[in-house]
Order: sequence, then C-alpha cells, then structure tokens
Amino acid sequence: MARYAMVIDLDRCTGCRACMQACKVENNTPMANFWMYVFRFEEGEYPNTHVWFMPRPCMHCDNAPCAKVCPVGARYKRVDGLVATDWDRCIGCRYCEVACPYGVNYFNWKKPSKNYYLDWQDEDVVQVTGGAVPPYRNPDLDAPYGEEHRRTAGGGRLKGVIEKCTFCVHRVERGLKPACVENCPLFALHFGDLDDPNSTVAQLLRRKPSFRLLEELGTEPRVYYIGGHPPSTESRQIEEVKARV
Amino acid sequence: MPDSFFTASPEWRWWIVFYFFVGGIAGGAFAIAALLRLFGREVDRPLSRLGYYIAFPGSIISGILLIADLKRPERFWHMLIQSETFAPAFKWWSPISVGSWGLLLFGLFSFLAFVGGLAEVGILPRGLQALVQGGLGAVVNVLGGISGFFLAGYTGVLLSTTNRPLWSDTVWLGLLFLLSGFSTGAALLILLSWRQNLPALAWLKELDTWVLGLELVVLIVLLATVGMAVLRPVLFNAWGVLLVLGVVLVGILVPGLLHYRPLLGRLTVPGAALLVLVGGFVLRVVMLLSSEAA
Repeated sequence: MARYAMVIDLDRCTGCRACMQACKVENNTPMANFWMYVFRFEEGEYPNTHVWFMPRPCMHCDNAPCAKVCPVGARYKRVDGLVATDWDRCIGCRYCEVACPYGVNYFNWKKPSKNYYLDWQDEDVVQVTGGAVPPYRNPDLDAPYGEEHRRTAGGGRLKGVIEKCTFCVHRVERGLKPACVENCPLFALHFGDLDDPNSTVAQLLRRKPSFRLLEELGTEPRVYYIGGHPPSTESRQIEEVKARV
Repeated sequence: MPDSFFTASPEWRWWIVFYFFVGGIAGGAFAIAALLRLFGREVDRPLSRLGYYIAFPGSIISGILLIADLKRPERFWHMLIQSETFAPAFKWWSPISVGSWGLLLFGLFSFLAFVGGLAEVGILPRGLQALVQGGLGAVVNVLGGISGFFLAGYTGVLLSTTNRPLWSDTVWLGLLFLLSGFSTGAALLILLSWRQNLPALAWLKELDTWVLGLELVVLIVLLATVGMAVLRPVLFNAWGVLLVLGVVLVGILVPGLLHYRPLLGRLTVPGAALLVLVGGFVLRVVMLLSSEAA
C-alpha cells in the first residue's frame, strides 16, 4: 500500500494561487471554502522586507487530531494515509474544526447550492441562461472511494457537514495527481508515495532539508515543506482576507 | 506566531453555553443529592429528592441543547450507534463521544432516581422507592453521582482538547467547570428549598462557600498559567471585565460574603444562591465566547 505525501517547495512558489483555483474547480467547493490556501507573509521592516508564500492544503496527519476527536468516525485515516471525511456520517458538531491546528476544515453553514459564486437556480440567472446551462459538477466526486467504500470525495455536498482537502482522492485512486499539484505552473507542489524511493517526493526529501508545519504538536503531517522556513513571530500575514482561511 | 494562528472557530454559541450551564447544574445537583442520600440522615431525604427532580429534567434539557447545536441533528444517534453496522459507537479518546455516553448514563440514573423520588412521596407506586433506597438505591446513587460528577466537568476537558486560544492553553478548565457545576447545583438546591428550612440547608451553604472559594483559586491559577500572549487578545477587553465583575465579584465574592453576613435580610439566602447561578452562567459565556472572539 502506498504512503502518500505532498512536498511543497517554498523557493519555487510565487503565490500565483493557481493551486487554489484548480482545487475549487476540481472539487466544486462552495464560496469562501479554500481547501488549498496560499498564505502570503511579510517579514522585516520597510524598506528591507521579504515577502514569501506558503500553500496550505490539509496536512493529512498520521496522528490526526480531527480523526481522534470525531465522535462518530466520520473523519478517519485511510490505510494509504489520506484523512477522509464521510459526508453521510458527519453530524455537524464541528469538533474536528477546533481540534485541527491548521484550520483546514470548512463547515457548510449554508445550503451549498446557494453558496456558489453563481446560483444557477436564481431567477435572474435563469432569465439569462434559460435554464439550459447546468452548473458544472465533477461527476467523479459522487462515487464511493477507498477500501471502506465511503463517499468522501469533493465538496459542496450537504448543508451542516464539514469538508476539507481530500488530496483529490478521486484522482489519486485513478493514478493521477491532486489537481493543485497538476496545475502548479512552477512545479512547486509534488505528490507521491513516500515508500517508493524513485518517487519525486522521496527523492526531494532525501536531497533537501525539510520541515513540517507545527511539527512540535506531534500531529505527524504528511505535507513537507522544502526551501524555506516555517512562519515565525516575525511573519505577518499581508492581506485582509474576507473569507475565513 | 501562536499555535492557534491557523485555527478556525467552531462557532459554538448559545446552545453550547446553555448546555454547559444546565449540564453542570444537573450533574452537580445529582452528585450532592447522592452524597446526602449515601451519607446523610433520614431528614435530608427531601433535599436529596429535590436534587433528583433537578437532575432528570436537566439531563433531558442538556440532551436537547446538545442535539440542537448539531447542524445535522437528525443524525444525533450516530454518536451512540454506528450508522452502517449498528454496533455501539464509543471512542474513549474522543471527549464528545465519551460525553454523549456519559450524558446517556446520567439520564438513565437520574431518571431512575427521579422515579424513586416520586415513589417516596406517594405520586408513583411505593414499590418503586427501592430505586433510591437500600442496596439498589445505593447503586443508583453511586453510579448516578459518578456520571453527574463527570457531566459537570467533562465539558471543560472537551474545550481543553482543542487548538483554540485559551481553551487549549490550560488544563484547568475541567476542574473549574466541575467546581462551578457543584456550586451552581448547590445554589439551585438552596434557591428551591430555602423556605422549607430543611436541616441540611446549613451544610449546603457551607459546602457552597467552600466550593466557591476553590473555584476562585482554580480561576486564578488558570489565568496565571495561560500567559500574557493568550490573555491579551482573549481577555484584555470587555470579556475580561465581564469575567471580573460577573464571575469573580457577582458570582463568587458577594455570595461568599452573604453566606456569612445577612446583608439582604430574609432575602440573603436566595439572593446569594441567585448570584451564584448568575456567576456560573457568566463563567460559561466568557470561557466560550471570549475564545471565539480572539
């Protein structure tokens, strides 16, 4: 069984946020839900400042606090290391949201169909489209995945359940890479099997020093960063983001 | 950068505030009732029955509040039964899972004691008073008391196992909520029984005073150990003022004083009890919502 991990090269990332866009399109996530989010940090004092970018997907921790605290087993760790959410089992208690130190969980407070950038059922939109143009929905997201055969892919499913990055489980199970990795124009994101010595991730981690986010908490993240440093007390987030990130 | 930089608020608001408050009172009242029943005298039985009458409705209200906060309330049974296999769903390492079972057990024992209490006063068949008397009564009181003890305190532990500001920065929340559950449970018992002049009332007031003192000590330790980096964004604001005025002054110091000096005449006893209840509620409000505001 593969042991999947992601390696993010901070030296290569330019903060273009193509990964965020690719994730939204691939997973049909509702408005303001960014399963992949690129933080923009500034350090130093003007005029000697340094700006850098840090993509943050779900860390798919080996010691996942979210899976530990979930009272109903809706959040669970798959044997290949992916941390999955079973939408059909989630009760909407939001305990995973507070247990996760990375803030990767997004709760569907609204009915997802009413929470996209465009509500295709809105009467004003229907006047223009004539109802002929359906909203795009990735059909791969509806199948059950994993040995457990549970519906865990994609977003925007139900009001009142939690969602997060799945490492594009529907693509990974077909031998493809997650959408964010596939669409990064600068090859800053890498995905693969840690147990395969020839995989890009294994090679990069052998060649370069790496760190994991908030490693001291003992969560054992499956996302590794190379070519940079963790955010520190010197790092300031340089934008006011309207949506929760 | 604090550990909680990336974390998100779960938006646990008023349903949870009231659940923590009512659950604390119910658990505390039953634990006191069980102590009176197990170690008290015959004349203390009316007060212990009052504890049962508070605990059972409190457990029902707690369950309703907990389910109301779920955003898929129709799936609440997933907390007790696995939806695919229908096997019991119990995760001893998840505070919500353990809490759900704890609340269920507390509901069961408080119901048995409630029925036994009604049987003692002749509302239900006399045979049912065995539920609170003799060997069976001892079992119901011990197990109900333990589950009440648990219900009053686990909510603080639940908050401590998160990664949110304040909640995750202290291990004292469980003890604080437990003591507050006892003090508010005792206060409600006093409030509902002060006109009857029951013999155990003096003991209850003394217990309440001691518990309030301990609560103040634990609160000070909690605040002293979380550090300024957490206190500044979380409590150096209106929430901090509310904590000092609403909890320390109104909920602990003034009632503690009233237990020794009858400054309000014949209303001193119920007045002190009412203030303890107000303080217990404000404590839950501040501890939950100040972290949310950070």
